[in-house]
Amino acid sequence: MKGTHLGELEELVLLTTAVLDGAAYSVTVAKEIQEVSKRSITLSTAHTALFRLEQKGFVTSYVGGTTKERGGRRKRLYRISKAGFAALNEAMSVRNTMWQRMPKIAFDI
Amino acid sequence: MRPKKRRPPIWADKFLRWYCADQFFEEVQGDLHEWFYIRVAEQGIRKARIMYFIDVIRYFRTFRLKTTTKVNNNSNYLFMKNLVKLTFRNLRRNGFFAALRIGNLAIGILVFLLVVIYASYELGYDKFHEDHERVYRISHGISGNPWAASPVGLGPFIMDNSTSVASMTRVFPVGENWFKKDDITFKERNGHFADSAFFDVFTHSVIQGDLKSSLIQRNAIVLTADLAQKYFGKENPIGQTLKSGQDDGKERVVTAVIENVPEQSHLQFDYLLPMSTFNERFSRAWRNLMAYTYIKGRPGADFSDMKEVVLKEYTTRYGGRGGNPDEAEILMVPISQIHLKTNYEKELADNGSINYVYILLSVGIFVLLISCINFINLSVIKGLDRGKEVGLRKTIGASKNQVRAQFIGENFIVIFISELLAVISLSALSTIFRNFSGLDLPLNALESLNVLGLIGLLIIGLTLICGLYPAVVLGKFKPAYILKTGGQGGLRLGRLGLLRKGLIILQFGISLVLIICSMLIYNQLDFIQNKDSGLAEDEVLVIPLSNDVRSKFQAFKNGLEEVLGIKSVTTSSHIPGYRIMVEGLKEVGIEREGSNLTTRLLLVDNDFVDSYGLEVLEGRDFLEDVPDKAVEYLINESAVNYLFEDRDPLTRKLIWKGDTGRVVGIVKDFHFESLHNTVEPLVMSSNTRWSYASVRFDPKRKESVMAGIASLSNEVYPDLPSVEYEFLEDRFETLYLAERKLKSIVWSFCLISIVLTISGIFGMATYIAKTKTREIAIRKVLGGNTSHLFGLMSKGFVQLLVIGTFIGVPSAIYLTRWWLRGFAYRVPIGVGIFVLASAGIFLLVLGSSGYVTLKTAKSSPTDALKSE
Repeated sequence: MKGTHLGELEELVLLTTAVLDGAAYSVTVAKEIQEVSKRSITLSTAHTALFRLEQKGFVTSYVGGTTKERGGRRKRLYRISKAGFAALNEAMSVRNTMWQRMPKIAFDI
Repeated sequence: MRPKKRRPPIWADKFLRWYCADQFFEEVQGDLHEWFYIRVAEQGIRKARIMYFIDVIRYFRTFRLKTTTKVNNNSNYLFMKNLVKLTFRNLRRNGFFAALRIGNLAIGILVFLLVVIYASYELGYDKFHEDHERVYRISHGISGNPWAASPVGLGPFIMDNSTSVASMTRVFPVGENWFKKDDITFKERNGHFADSAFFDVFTHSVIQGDLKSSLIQRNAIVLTADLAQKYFGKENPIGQTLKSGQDDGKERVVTAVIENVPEQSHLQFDYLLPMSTFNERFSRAWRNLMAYTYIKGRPGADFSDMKEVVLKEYTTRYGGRGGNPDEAEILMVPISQIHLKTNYEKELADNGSINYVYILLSVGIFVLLISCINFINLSVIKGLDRGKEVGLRKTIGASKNQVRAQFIGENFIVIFISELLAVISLSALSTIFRNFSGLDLPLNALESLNVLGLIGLLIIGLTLICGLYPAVVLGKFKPAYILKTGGQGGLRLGRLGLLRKGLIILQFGISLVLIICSMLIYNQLDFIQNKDSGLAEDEVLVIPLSNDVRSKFQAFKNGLEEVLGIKSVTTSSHIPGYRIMVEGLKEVGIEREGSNLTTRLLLVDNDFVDSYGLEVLEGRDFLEDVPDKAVEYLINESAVNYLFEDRDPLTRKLIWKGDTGRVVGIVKDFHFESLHNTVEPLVMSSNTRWSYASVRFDPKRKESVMAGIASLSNEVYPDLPSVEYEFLEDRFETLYLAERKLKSIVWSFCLISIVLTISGIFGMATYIAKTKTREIAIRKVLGGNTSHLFGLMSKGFVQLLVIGTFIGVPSAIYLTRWWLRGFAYRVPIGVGIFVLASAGIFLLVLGSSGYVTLKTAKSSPTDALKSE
């Protein structure tokens, strides 16, 4: 198993996967990220991130249904796993700790 | 159906189809299509189509490629992966054995590589010259005495009389010389006169100037890079002048600068002067054997005509003088063979010897062989451990060949690691090897393609030799038997197979040969050093007389005799320890048919005999005051019979070059050459043509003598650098330099081979003891004592040792006899050496196997028996 470090983009994708709750695949993830963060990410970036997250065990995937737009092709849907959720929590708590440690003065900048 | 236009581009889809692995394809294409229609809605069809293609390209990542997944699932790849993993697992599990196997082989390979690099270096002399196979040195031999030097006139004669020669150059040493630029003066010893065609015959790369015309002008000089740097620094030397000692301080103009002469050349020089320095008469004279004549033949030329013409010329020129013309021969040596295959009179350099190259090469191969044998034996014995693994593999369906492939692969990896280790240590230790050999060996494997090739061949060769046999043996395991009994699959451990027994015998034999040979070399050198040479070489120092020193020599000599600690000073034409000239002599009143007898001839003054501590057996020494420079002769014992047969020498007269004189005495034979040769007939003539001064001193006052010479030299020659001298003892040491080097090399190889053999034995003994732990324990319980167990365990090795001795000793006798043939004076080969060497190896083997046995035998038997 590869390292389980959570990169910045991966964290974002993982969060999105959690938000989409079972309906996450590269198209929806890319769209959601574009909408929320105004940051444009390509399909392939989203797919690669999902693939790596799956290798790290943070998401699980299953083959889902088809839609007309896909020309009858099945899609692979991703869902956050327990480990993924723990990793997100961990990331958040690290950030929170850091925020709390920040001296007041920093807000004046 | 959708209108065609609203579809994503088909060719982009095709590309995706082409590269994308099946497991991703459906998902990815679906996603892409969905995205495409979103784009169409937002940005229009044109842009969506372009973006679709860009997205397809963006998906191009290694993990999605078809080939990647194919490779990942390819059975060969899986096999390799599994093999590497298993190999390292096994190596780690048996750290000691792994280290033993790898270290063993690495040492063997290291020694082998070193030796091969050395040999190819020695064999590569003078091969950097273009068309070197067409370049020959021409000289002659008379009465079986071959010469490297030839008459000055030989070269021009060949050019006038032969059409098969394209170009010719003579080379002859300038001798002591100095150059002066402004106020810097250096002595330069290493220069040659050369013909203008020098650079046609030899290939040297030019740095500045024009080589073709560089040696035409009378006052030209060609410098090597180092010398140019020394005198001119960063200035451009071309066209600048140097005052030259050889030309009485006249100036010479630098016409070209060439790269330093490569070390791999017998013809070494720092500068060249043109032959045109001399007049035509000198240049065509046949009197002096002082030039070295090199020719470059035309392609495909036949030289037999030329040889005949030259031989005829020799006969007419030398008929009646110096040797029998019937026995004269013309010698043509390809330049690439001069270094190793010739050692004629007056060689330009101390040449190597092809025999030493062969000796080292075979020793290197022997050491590699020993380490291979260890590797094979240890591999087999270690592999026996893995019976269960093999059994299981076979049960699951592996074929015999698959199991073999597994073991070959493992061995390959181990061999590869050893090789890597050897190559790394080769470059790491390169400074040591270079200093020791005194040669600039190409030891960094990555620098030399040949070495890399050799390493590649070695890996393949060793895998075949060392990897195949263990693999074949281990492939034979019978699965059912192993799995049923947990045993070794019908291969009994304690017993060694016939082949392996043979290998161990061979190993013992080789070690024994190496031990005996190095002992003998040691003895022989010892013998030579302690043999009485008949002269006082440890009490004599020699001053070569350059023109400068000679100019005020009488004053210098008088001063020397005053120095505290100096007993006497003598002058002579040559000195013992260097080659003494060979000349033809005539006996008054005896007409010989054809030619004169040749002997070594020394021109000496009347202090020579005393100064060198020679002993006059019959007659008398030269007189103190010779009336009217009358010449007298002294001969050595060896010359008595040779020159005069049954006539009484003391009543005869000799003539040499018009000097007639009486033979006044006979001196006891002394070794004026190395002990490779017997004492040759020698005649000493009282004559005043000298080029060396020898000083007999009191060895207890060596320091005072050295200081005295230095201050005297300052006093008499204030303008010159201090007079140089050499201790005769040191000169005689250098005569055995090759042997001395050989001694230390063979010693170290011998040591290495012993260490290898012992470590092999140690490994095997450890293993056998381990597998016999229970047997030993049971025997102990039943009352067997330690010495009994020791005997039981060592018996196998002792048998092999005895056979090994029977093979090793005769081969050692044969080899040492062959080597000793190179010496005229040989140390007797006693039984002692053989007994000592055999006993030594017996002790070492018994010691290492005994140590292991004792360790096992001493442990409590309950532990061993409990473990099952």
